[in-house]
Amino acid sequence: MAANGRRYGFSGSITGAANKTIVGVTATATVRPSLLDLIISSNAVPADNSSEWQVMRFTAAGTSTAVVAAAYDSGDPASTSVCGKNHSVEPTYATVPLLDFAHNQRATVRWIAAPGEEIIAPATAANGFGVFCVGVAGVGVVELASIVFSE
Amino acid sequence: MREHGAIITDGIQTASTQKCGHCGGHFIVVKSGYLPYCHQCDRITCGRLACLEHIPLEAQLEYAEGKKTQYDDAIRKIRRG
Repeated sequence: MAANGRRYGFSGSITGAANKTIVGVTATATVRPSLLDLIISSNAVPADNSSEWQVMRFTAAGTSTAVVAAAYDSGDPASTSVCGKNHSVEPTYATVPLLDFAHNQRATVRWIAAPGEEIIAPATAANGFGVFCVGVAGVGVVELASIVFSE
Repeated sequence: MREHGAIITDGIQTASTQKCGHCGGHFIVVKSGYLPYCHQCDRITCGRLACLEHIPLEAQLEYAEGKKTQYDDAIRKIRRG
């Protein structure tokens, strides 16, 4: 049951651009990571720029900057799932988005899952889910993403 | 209808999401909108073509994990498009 698993959180930041992944969580053969909570915001100079974001499953993790996710319970071990941000090589995504929304740069948007209704990735190496910028209106819009996942 | 997720903008809930019983994706619910329903799952689905046939999310996850499920043929069919 995903809701009862160990919870971890981390964040990433990119300059918004089309087809760019901001954070990703890669499963292993032993755990199914589940996305519980996602926050998208911007720390750029306030302006009316919109951007579209999707959460998608992937089957190849791409290349990213490794992140050590913080355990919500300090007694928990490090996450088994592999976390990354600011991808330089994009993951190989599935075609169907699992969550799709847009936001104005001035607004902070949060998505939270009800217990038991998280977005799940299979327990298969190199599979997982990523938060992905589909497109952004404006130049140099720095976007931040914070996620909480369980495993 | 129990919401499966919530979208909160600047601290105010602006939308609810439902989770598709087949692909596991969340989609924003429009009050007046038609919501496809799978009687075998007893759950709402997202209505995409690939999600019209009853293939539970658990079976799709197990297929991706290399396990055998009774839905393998159907999963291969939808993956071929």
